This record gives sequence, C-alpha cells and structure tokens, in this order.
Amino acid sequence: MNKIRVQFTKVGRVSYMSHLDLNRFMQRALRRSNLPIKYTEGFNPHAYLTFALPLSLGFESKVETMDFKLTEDISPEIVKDRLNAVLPDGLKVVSAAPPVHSNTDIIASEYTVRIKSKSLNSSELESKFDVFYSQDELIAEKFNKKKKQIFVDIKPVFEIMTKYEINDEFVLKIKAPSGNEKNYNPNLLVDMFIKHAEISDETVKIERNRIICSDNSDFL
Amino acid sequence: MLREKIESILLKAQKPARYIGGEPGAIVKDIYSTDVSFAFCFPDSYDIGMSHLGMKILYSLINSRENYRCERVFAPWPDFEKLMLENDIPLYSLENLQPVKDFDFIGFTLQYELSYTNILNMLKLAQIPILAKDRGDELKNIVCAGGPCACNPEPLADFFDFFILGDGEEVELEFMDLYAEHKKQGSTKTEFLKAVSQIEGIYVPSLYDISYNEDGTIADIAPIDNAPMPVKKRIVNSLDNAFYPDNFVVPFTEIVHDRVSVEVLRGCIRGCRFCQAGFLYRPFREKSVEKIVSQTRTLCENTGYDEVSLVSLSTSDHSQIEPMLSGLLDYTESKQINLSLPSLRVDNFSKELLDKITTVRKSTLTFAPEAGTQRLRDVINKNVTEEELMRTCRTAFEGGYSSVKLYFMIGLPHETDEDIVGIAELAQRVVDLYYTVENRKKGQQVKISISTATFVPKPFTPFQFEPQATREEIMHKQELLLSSIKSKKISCSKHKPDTSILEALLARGDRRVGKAIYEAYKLGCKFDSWSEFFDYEKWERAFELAGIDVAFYANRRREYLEKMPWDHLDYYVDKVFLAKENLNALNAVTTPNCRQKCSGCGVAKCIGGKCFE
Ligand code: SF4
Repeated sequence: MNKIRVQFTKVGRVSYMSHLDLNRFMQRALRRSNLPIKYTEGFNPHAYLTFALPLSLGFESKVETMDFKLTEDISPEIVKDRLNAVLPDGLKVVSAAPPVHSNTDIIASEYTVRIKSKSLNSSELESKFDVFYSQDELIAEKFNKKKKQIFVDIKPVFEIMTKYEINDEFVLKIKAPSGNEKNYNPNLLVDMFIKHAEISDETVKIERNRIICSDNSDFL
Repeated sequence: MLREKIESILLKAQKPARYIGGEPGAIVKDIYSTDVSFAFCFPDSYDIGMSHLGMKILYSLINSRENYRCERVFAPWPDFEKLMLENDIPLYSLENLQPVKDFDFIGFTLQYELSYTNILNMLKLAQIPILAKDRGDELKNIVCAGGPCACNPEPLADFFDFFILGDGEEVELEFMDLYAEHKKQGSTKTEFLKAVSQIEGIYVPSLYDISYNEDGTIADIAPIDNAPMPVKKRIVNSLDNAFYPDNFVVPFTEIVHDRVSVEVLRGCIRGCRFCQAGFLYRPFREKSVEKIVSQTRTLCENTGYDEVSLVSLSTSDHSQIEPMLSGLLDYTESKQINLSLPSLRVDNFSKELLDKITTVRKSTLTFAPEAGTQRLRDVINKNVTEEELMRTCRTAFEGGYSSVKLYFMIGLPHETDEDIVGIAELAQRVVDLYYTVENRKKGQQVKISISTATFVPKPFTPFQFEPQATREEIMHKQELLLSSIKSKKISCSKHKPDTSILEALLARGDRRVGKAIYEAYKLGCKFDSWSEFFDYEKWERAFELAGIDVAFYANRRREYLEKMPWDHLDYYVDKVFLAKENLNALNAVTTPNCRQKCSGCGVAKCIGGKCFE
C-alpha cells in the first residue's frame, strides 16, 4: 500500500471551513479526483484520511498536511495535479510525497499573528503588548485532555520570536508547543492580550507558518 | 471593501463558512462583463436553502448563459445578522460578495408560507425599500418570486414586482432576455413590468385591481392596461428536454440534504385532496430511465458525493421504477454510493423492490396513511387500504425492519373522534402484526412512531373551500389521540397548532393580509418556521394592528361560487372540478388515479388533450 502525504494551503475563503468540515470536504474532493484511493469496507466507505495537526477555524496556513493510501502506484506529481484540478481556490496542494516524519515527531508550530485595531495604531498596539507581556506570569484558563478546566502560566509556553509593525498592523511571530504531548493554541495568548489591553475593535489574522519536528526540521 | 468588513466579523459568528462562499461548483463571474444579474435569494438559512433543488436548477440555468450572472443569497442567522447591522454590512451574495442592492433581479423562492417575514427582513438587510411602490421607477432591483406558494401570492403582492407561476426553466431566461432589451433601450420599470406581464407564466400584481364586498369577500379582480386574464402558469412539456444541472455547489459546512438529488418525475397521478403539490404540478411527467441514470452519474462524478436521492412527489409511480432502480443500483453499487429513496408509497411496494433497497441500507420505514380510518382515507382520497399497509409492514418486518414511522394529519375535513382513535388503533395493529411475523429480527423491540401534522387547507385543492379546525378542536384531537395510545411501543408527540393556523391564514389570504405580514416583520418576526424564533403573540399583535380577523381566512367555509383571491391565476385545474371533488369528499367517494382513469381536471388541455397514452 502506498501511503502518500500531501502538503496543502488553506488560505482565503476556505480558512473558514472547520476542521470537521474539512475532513468531509476532502472525502468528496478525493472522489472527484478519481484517484485510486484506499477506502474502508462497509456501508459507508470512506478514505482513511489523517491530518497532522488540526488548524483552528479562521487560521490560514501553507503547511497543512493530509495522509491517505493509494491502491496503485501513481507518481506524486499526478496525485498533486489531479487534486488541484478539483480543489477550490485557497486549497492548493503544494507537494505530494511519501511521508518522511511520523505524527508523533511533531513538537511545535510557528505562527504569524497580525493584529489591527480601528482606534489604535500599530505602535500603540505594540506598546500595549509590551506592557502586557512584561508581567511575570500570564495565567490562562485552559481545558486539559479530560475536559477539565485548569490554570496555567502561559508565559513560558509561548516563545515570541519577533514582533514588528507594518503599515497599521502589529505583527507577532510566535512559537507554540504542538503535537500529541502538549498542544497550545496561539489564540490563548492573543485573547489574553486583547482582554488585558481592553481592545474591542480588533481584527486578528493568524497564519501557521511551520510545523516543526523534534530534530527542528519541517514536518514532511 | 465589503470583503474585508465581512472577514472582520466572520469568526464571531456560528458556522462562518455559510457566509463567505468559495465552494467548489460555485460559479463566479466577472461583475462587469455580464449584462443581467440575478440574486437568487432563499428566505431561510444556508443549511436549508442549499438543500433546495429548484435553486440548483435555476442557478445553473442562468449561469449557463455567458452574459447572465446568478449569485446565491441566504437569510443570515440572527447572530450574524446582528453583526452585519453593527458593522453596516448590507445583505450580499456569496459569489462576488456583492451587495444585493446592486443586482438587476432580486428573486425569492416561495417554498413555505412561514418564510414570508424573512423575505421582508432580507429586503431590509439589503437596504431596499420593502414596499414595491417605494422602490422608484428606475429599471433595477426587480423583486420577483416563484415556487409553490406563488400560486396564491396575494398576501405578498405589495412587496413584489412580479411572480413566476409554474415551471421556471423556460420562463426564467425569457424574462431576463426581455429585461436585457429594455435595459439597452433605457426603459422605466413600469414599461418593463407592462411588457413582462405579457409573457406566459408571469403575474404582475400591480396590474390588477381588487375590490371587496361588504362581507369582506372579493367582489372583483380587474386587469389594468391589457394585462392577461387569467394569468396562466408555465409548463415544461418534457423533463428529458428540460434543463438539468451537471454540477452542484458542494458546501464547506454540513447542510440538510447534503447529497446529489435527481428529479425523476414531476406531478402526481394520485389526486389526494389535501395535497397542494399534487394539483399544482400537474400534469404528470416522467424523466426517462436513461436520463435519470446519466444525470446521476454526471452529478456524482462532478460533486464527489457518495449519496444520491431521487426527488419527486411519488417515485414509485414512475412507470419504469424497476428498470430505473436496477440501472441506478448498477452504477451506485459499483461506486459504493448510497441510494436513498424517500416517499415510496405503500401500495406498490413489491418484495423485489424492497430487497433491492434493503441491500443498500437498512433504516426506519416510513409510511403516510394520513388518516386513521378507511372512511376518512376515502374522504381525502388517499388510496391506501389497511390491508396494503399491513402487507407492506409484514414484508418489511420479514426483511429485518423493526421500526416504522407513520404520518397522519389531524383536523381533516369531516373528521370525527372515531377517526382520531382510529390512528391509535391502526398503530396498535401494526405492533400486534410484528409479533405474528415468524422470521422477524430476534431480540429487537418493535417501535412505531406516530407523527401528526395539523391539516392546512390550501389553494388549488378540493379542500380550498374548507375551514381549518379551530385551535380548541385541534387541542382536543391531540389529547384524544394521546389518551388512545395504550402501548409503550408506540410514540407520539404533541405540537402547538399556532404555526398551522398562521400557515392557513397566509396560504389563503388576500392582499389585505400583506399588512399583517408587514406589521409582524416590524415587530421582529423572522424565521417563523423555527420553533426557537416563532412568536405567535407578536403575530396576534400584528393581526390587530392590521385589522385582520384570522378566523375569516382560516376557519370560514367558502362557497363554491365565492371569488378566491387566486381566481385570476390559472393552474389549469378547473374550479368546477375542485368543487366536484369537494363534494366527493363529503360523500367519501374516491376518485381513481390519473393512470387508471382521467377525471377531467382540466390540465390535459394544456398538453394536447391527453396526459397518458
Ligand atoms: S387531465 Fe385527467 S389525467 Fe390529466 S391530470 Fe387531470 S385528471 Fe389527471
């Protein structure tokens, strides 16, 4: 059986498709592509699909991955072309290849966060952020795997890689733990900042830039 | 830019994918290189509207013309509506995210009466004046509507420029062509409406004057300026030649009917006296098996759906049902596609057919005896006998089914307490039958669920003359039914009759009822078909403000000779025929189905004198 991993983008209108919807949506796209996909048995056959890391609703990304199995030998180039022929704008396969890493190799993700406000310019946003981030602890509410509410200090969790202003946007690059062991959504930090700075007219855009493995290589 | 504004609020709404478009199958054309634009508005949520077949057909049809453009619009859910208003975002279409107020046509589909307030609300969100007379005489923003409820559009007459009666596939492009000409010539709206009224199937309400008698009934309906009288509905002669889409928009989020639907026939041979669709969609027309199979195949391939459903009023009345199912199953089984078959009738459900279907999927069997006793079934001309029901249930139980859903109506004309008790007794006999079936599925409990709907008299049916049962009567009947059920294996739910009462008012209302709709909208009524939003108290207030007596419309028996608000609209079914059928109901005399014998309803004259060879 040929396992194949496609890396794809999720930008623009499709970024408002939830992860659950994406799975069902891809099932149909795979059928449209007419690729020889391995299906489950039974009344409701569907492709075995795995996504490395769910992407939050509204986030954009150019590094999403989806794995499935083929029943015939087909060149990855063809897989890529056939899928792109049936996918809508914004969902685009950038590469297809046999998987290099296992999902358990994933330890972190990098994100670009763009914050805009109608009433505050970018440098005001940045200075507000500095005030916020200068606190010793940033205690956030979070749900653990057992759906229990817990409190964690997220200051050591996120790494602020860079921050800058561009036009009227305040931009943050953040590294966050990802994967099976520990998984942190950058929204945790962003929401806390917005609340702390008492901003109410914000627009936030978040893009995932990298999925990183334990050896610091890109997940492929 | 509108898009940026929309994106800034999307994540604050539930299921935002409903508001941004971009789905595969969506047709996005350049705004500036098309001549006529049509905003197809469905007055309910995306999840409901996207499931609607008529919209898919007309959407593809209009877009099949290179210089015409059709875009989809749905009613925003109240959470998103609030965000739109706060951020000054007008109602927009999903393809180009273009304000609806920029479109040449703003077309609504009238599928059920309880969506009327949503129409008014959508016009408001679109920032378009709600009353047609306030919209000016410039040729733009033509507000029109089609669909089953257009057969009595009078309560909506003040809000619309014109209505489309009957099948839309041909007339749609005809009036768009006419518009394109008038646009080029620089006509006014009045000039265009006068011209469009001459197209068969188009009804321009402002070209008809209505006068009333002292008792409130209609005295006269008078055409102005040579407007046609009566206004005839349009009929597509052959379904094989009618336009059918080869692709659907495949949504990002889940919708109600998320699958391929293929229409297999239009019309119905049955003539059940309560069923409006059965009369509105006459004559009976079939699609050929080859077309059905090829359209199914094309749509499955283009959409990637793994489920197909066949759409019609009564699929098992297709004369080629067996070859059709075999042909479909050959394809669907080879591709592991599910074939789902709703609304199969009891009385021609053969063992072979059942076997074929059960190899695909096993689920609850649903039947609609509609009435509890044979006498009442004869009154409504539902030609299902108890023997047939029992035979089918037996076959189903032998085939491994153990749950059956039975549909009934209560409040039917000439219904007595005996008929209500009869519903419970019938269900009990199905339960008893289960335990006499030797090879029933072992270890399984039989489950019968009774679903009841309150009967609503509708225009163009033999019951259009009938009063609706009053609230008190309906409540009594519901109580009686519940107390007559003796077994725990039978379930039955109760419902409030309010929505049915409103439906009865709107379905048979005249132009004066429009005022009540307008008041209800102003009081904040919307999504009336959703129990979480329906607020009958607001409607009662609206009736008061508009001076509308609900009983006059809902609970009054109408004389055969009374002028109905829709008498100037011609669906080819003669009023005399409806009156005769009404008398047959009174005497519990049944009428044979159209295939057995033509009863001379009047429809045949529009297709060359004969419905069946
Ligand atoms: S004309 Fe006769 S066959 Fe045709 S729909 Fe009417 S009753 Fe049926």
